[in-house]
Amino acid sequence: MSEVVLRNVTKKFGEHVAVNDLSLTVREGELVTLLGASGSGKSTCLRMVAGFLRPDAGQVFIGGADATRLPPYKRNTGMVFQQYALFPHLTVAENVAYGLKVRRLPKQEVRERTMEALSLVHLEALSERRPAQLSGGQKQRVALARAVVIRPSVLLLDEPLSALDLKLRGELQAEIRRVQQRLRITTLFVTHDQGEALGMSDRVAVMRDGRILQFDMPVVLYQRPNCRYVADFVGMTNFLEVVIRDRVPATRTNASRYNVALLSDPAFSWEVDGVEEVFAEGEKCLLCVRPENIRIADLDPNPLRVVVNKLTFTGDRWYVECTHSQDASVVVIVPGSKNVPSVGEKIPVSWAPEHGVLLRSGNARSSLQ
Amino acid sequence: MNEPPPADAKLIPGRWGYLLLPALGVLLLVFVLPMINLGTKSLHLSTGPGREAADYTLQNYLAFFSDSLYWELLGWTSALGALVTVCTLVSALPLSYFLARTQSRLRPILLLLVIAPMLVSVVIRNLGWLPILGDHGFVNWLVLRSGAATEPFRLINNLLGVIIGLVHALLPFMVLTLTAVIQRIAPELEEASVSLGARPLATFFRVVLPLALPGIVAGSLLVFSLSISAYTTPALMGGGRIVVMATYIQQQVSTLLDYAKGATVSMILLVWVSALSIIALRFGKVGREA
Amino acid sequence: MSARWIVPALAGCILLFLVAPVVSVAVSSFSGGPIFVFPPAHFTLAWYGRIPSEYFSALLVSLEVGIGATGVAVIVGVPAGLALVRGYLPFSRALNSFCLTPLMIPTLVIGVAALQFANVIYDVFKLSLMESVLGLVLAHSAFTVPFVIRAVIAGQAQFDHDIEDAALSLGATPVRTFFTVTLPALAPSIASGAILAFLVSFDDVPVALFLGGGSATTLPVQIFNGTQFDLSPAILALSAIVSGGVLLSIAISGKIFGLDKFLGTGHT
Repeated sequence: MSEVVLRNVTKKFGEHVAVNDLSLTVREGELVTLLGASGSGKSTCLRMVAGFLRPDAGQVFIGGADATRLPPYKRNTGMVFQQYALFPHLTVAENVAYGLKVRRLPKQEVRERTMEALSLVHLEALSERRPAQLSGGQKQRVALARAVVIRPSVLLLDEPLSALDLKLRGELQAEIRRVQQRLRITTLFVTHDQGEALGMSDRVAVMRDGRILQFDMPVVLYQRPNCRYVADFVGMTNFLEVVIRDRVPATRTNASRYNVALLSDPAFSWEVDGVEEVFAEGEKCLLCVRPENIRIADLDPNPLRVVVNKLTFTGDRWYVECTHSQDASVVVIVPGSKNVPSVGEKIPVSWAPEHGVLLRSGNARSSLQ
Repeated sequence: MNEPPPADAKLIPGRWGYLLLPALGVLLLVFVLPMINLGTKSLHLSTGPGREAADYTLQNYLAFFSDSLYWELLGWTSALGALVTVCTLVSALPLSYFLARTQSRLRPILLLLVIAPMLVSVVIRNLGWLPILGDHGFVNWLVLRSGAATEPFRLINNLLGVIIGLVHALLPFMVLTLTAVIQRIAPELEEASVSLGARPLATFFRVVLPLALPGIVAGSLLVFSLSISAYTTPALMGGGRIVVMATYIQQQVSTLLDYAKGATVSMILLVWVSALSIIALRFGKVGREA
Repeated sequence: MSARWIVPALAGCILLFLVAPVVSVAVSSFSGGPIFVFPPAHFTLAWYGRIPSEYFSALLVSLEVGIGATGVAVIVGVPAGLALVRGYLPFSRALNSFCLTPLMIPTLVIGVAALQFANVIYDVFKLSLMESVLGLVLAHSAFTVPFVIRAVIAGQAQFDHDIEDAALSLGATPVRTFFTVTLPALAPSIASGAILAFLVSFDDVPVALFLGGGSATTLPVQIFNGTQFDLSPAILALSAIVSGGVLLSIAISGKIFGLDKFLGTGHT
């Protein structure tokens, strides 16, 4: 059992509350990512699981046992640091073997497991090199090998790829995920890169100001964000201020269909499907639509009429920025191979009811798992 | 690279402090106490070789500051120091600028060449000057051979020798300081200046020098305080004829055994050097903030 | 454009000026004929064989004092440097300055103070520290200790503290982390600080002149006296050997520790 549980954990640094009554469970064998901007408290959480920081309130459980008061060297966690933290005076093999030597394992076993770990990350050939002679990507793989060779109950990664360039980052993301799944280690990953989080994780917790806003699978986070911050942080979103007209009989169980109208121009209205929250008539809220879900077409009888402002081409797609009025603008994504309207042209845009998401405007709700 | 861990995660919380005690103890014994003793000795009058009267008095200091002989000594030593500092500064600038800006792979070797002489004892370096500056030495051989003069120049065992010796001994300090200072000035600034039409020399005086000024002042103060407290070089390169404050102190303490007077002049030298160091530190800080 | 060559040319001249005396010692040690006459009449190795024995005993004294003073410096200086950076001590800035103050005092003053203090010790404890290796070791400690402290502080400024966390997370206790990770990672800084401290002690003249003498005459003092009173080319030979040794040890240290680390913890 190597579940990780944070229960009502709070951490303050002087007056500043870095982590605020946070609870989280990482299931065995799962890779959970803490995603947030700097200052969101994600690294602080990780360090409390590692044992370098002690919570001011709440508890940390590893594998069912209360680890809150345990020092880091008694927790059997493996940690990978942003700047690799390889021991400069030891070779690659000695770095990887460090944790095993500390556990006083017999030499033969140390040698075997070291080689096994190095071959897991494809670095057997470099075992006698020193860290100074390695590239960034190689160093990070050594750090990974060093952390997993001790067969930790939990693997902790603190923004391990931020120091690497884009292509290398992609390769190592895949490598880390591959190793993690193969060894089935419970893993907690910290990053500010939402693409990284979505691509690697079983579940993602979006953090802000020391709290978790939403904790769910990447698909759910993307398609059904529960607040404006999450919608905005994870991927690109269009926001339209709307007012609730009425509620329509559900087409799915547990979900309702609402009729909403644009706040600044009630002539335009849409149906939004699959809404699980309850909204009152006349309530103002936000309608979110992802740019890739918007079509330049008359899908429904009353599409939103917008004027094209700006076109940006990035190779595989066009970003078409349009405005209906001062309070309503949208960005539409069109595949790069298709034709796009010109700047100044008036076009209709629409989307399917199930692609709209209704969010309360104002405060975020935090969603506990 | 990064900050030491916050208080939460200290390795051995609270007990690092004790590790400082042995060093403090040693420094107390070999530094603090002797310096205090020196200070107190200067407050007594001498009664004979190695002995002092029991009462405390400022007489020594008053005697120093009221006697023109001592003012001359202080003034003359400082003037020499100032001259040496200026020569060192002017000599160091081209070398420092070159070292700061060069991309050559020889740079580490060149830096080594700057530092290495510092680490060879001053007495050995002074020895080395004899074959070069002596009456029958290399320079005079060149001079006489080329017919520039009929008599050899006196380059050593006199004031000129002392100046050459001191400039040579202190040059590495100035070069290292200035190289670091100039390196901190972004090369783009010089490029901007040149692109606006200024010639290299003008760029140097208009852009580099003003920006390097705090560091130059700090370096100069350092070299100045080292030159006014120098003992060995004036002794060896001056042929016994050049008396600076350090020489005077040595005479008092070793030859005349007038400890009180020696202590007094030492304290005055110490205060002078300390004042300069503090000012130099201020300028050093300013340079870093710039 | 000849202007481009002026700066490198000037730099070159000044470099030549800097190395001139050292080169001159080496070259002159091979010259036969009357002393300090250029050009030399002929070249010879004879002087190397005629170094008076007192110079060798002086060399030995210098080595003893150097090793002693450096040893003291490392033993008390390394813990002190660590404590100053990690201890979160009260008045840390004042303590820092205090530990580095001796480096700002002219060596001459340290020498005078040492001599006079040794007299006091003799008067009070009947213990003679003058003309003794022990006395010189103690006097030199006044600047070798701050040297090593400064090197250790500088070494920690470039230290990646994450590696200690890494060791802890891998299961090493704090004590074990200190000895297997922290100290080895700081070793280059400590070593270069120690080597520089040794060289400064070895090269010292004022302190050894005032406090030493007799059987505790260091090599620089011996050469100093020799230059003034009894000049012989054999001194040049010995000086050449010593210079060669110093340069060799710098070169080796630079190779092992990397020149930047070495220079970074050095003078000024």
